[in-house]
Amino acid sequence: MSQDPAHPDPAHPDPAHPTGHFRHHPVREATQRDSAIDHSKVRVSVIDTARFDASSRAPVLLGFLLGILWLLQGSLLGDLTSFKFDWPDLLSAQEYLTFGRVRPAHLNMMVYGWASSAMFAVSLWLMPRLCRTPLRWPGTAMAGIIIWNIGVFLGVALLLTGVGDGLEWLEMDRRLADPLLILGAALVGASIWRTLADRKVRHLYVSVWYVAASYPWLVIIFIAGNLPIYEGVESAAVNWFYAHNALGLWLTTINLGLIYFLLPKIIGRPIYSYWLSLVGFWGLALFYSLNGMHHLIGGPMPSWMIATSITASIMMVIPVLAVGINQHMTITGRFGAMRYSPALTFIVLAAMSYTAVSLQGILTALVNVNRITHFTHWTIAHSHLGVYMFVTMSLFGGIYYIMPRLIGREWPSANLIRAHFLLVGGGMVLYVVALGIGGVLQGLDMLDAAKPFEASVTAAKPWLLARSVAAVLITLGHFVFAYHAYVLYSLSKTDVVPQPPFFFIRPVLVKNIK
Amino acid sequence: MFANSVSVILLGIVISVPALLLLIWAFKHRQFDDLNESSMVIFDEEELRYARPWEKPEQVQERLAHYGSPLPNALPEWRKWL
Repeated sequence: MSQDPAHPDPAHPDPAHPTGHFRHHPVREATQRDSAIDHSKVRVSVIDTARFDASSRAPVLLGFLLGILWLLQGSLLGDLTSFKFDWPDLLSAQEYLTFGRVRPAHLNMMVYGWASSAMFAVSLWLMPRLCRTPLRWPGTAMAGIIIWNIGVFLGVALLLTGVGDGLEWLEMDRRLADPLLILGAALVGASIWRTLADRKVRHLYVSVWYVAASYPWLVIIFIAGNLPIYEGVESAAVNWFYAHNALGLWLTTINLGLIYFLLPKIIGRPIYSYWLSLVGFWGLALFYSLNGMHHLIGGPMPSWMIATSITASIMMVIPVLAVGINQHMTITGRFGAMRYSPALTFIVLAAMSYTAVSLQGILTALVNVNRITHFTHWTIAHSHLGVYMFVTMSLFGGIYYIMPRLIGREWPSANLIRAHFLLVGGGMVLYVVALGIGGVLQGLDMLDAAKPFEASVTAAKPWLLARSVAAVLITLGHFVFAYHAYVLYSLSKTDVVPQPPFFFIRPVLVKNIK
Repeated sequence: MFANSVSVILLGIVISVPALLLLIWAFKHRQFDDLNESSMVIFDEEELRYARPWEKPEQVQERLAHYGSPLPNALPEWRKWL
């Protein structure tokens, strides 16, 4: 720990501050009083930061490695799934490559393989830094990541052989695969909470709330969703309770925690309103859990359930706008920074997508909109806006920021970063726009009683082809990213070298600077 | 009205009530005091003194006023741009 510039040693005045500006540094007595140790003394040196990073290095790199491997495989299966809409007989002779198996395999690889593994890594990197203490139980965390991934491998392999539970987002076998996932998440969560318990600061930064809360939430909803005790309508309700909360209380929370850390960190100014950031977290924690049943509007559900779900969905306007306004006001006037930092570019895109997908989700929960979009490709566009444009972009940003600090080297090629960004960013914009339009056209045709069902298929067809083109672009981007990560890792230094905080920011999109 | 509803109600309680209790805990332990100052805990020492090349002149002055004179950046590839 180092001395805070707000309280310089009078015997050694800082020659850089003859006007004494540092004496007005915003650390107050009340904050100091509330801390286990004074906030004036918690500003850590780069040596401490390097020590915290070193403590989490092995599990974080393992999580990223396994996540990227799943990303590549899941992308290829996603492409195949998309192609089957354009050429329905493609590879249909092999049972394990039929649409009904490939599509859930793609979803589970991306959500549980790629996103969750990378999110474990991000959590394990964030917590030591925010708790000002080395990661506790790193071996437990590594075991958790490995067990989780074995579970995903088993689950996906069984899905491709035709063994699955047949529930949305819960397709993996509940007897063989799911217990491994629960054990894996619990072990990683144990490391996270042990680190939290040993924190050297009393105040919990908003990212700590997001990350720490995510693990018990994931374990609870995953166990609840997989219990084999529900039947009929109740089964559908619990299924969507799980599926929507997996997005809102797992994928969203870890990534918002990451964004709240990286956004102010990279641009070098604190978050615009810390109070708003807490409103966003507590709004999500208290009101999100009943959102999911809006997926069942029009179904034979108890009316209170649908009404409550729609109400909860509309109430999400408050935390979503709180997060959106806060993040926008933090970056506003400094958008130029995105040209310099690939991590910031991805993070800002992810933050904007969070606001967009949340508002889109609230609109989709309204009955009049849902009547058109339900059972159409619009839903797929919406889910990709969330799971890809928000979650995956955020994780790319996190990896671009974290890996150089653990490897001890900067990313070797600005061109590869640029290619990655243009391929996945351009591809995903095309994906969401094409499927969004195709979905609405499909829905309008299905609602028109004068038209045959085939008309809705014909209307969506060109947009599905555009989606396939987008999917190929995105997959190419993933291979560029994976190759670049491999090259970076092969340059790895074994010793951890403390660097100035503004060290690993590569000028990517800047060409002509005076 | 509550047919087929018990599980969802229970699950909603299991998720939300602990969050409510944690919110009360956070208030009792004064987690929400001095919020703006708390937002500074993510920064390392001297971190805010490093010049950012994208900042406008008024933003540079703001950083100078709050955090003191800028520190040189150690990365060679940045030197020509700073």
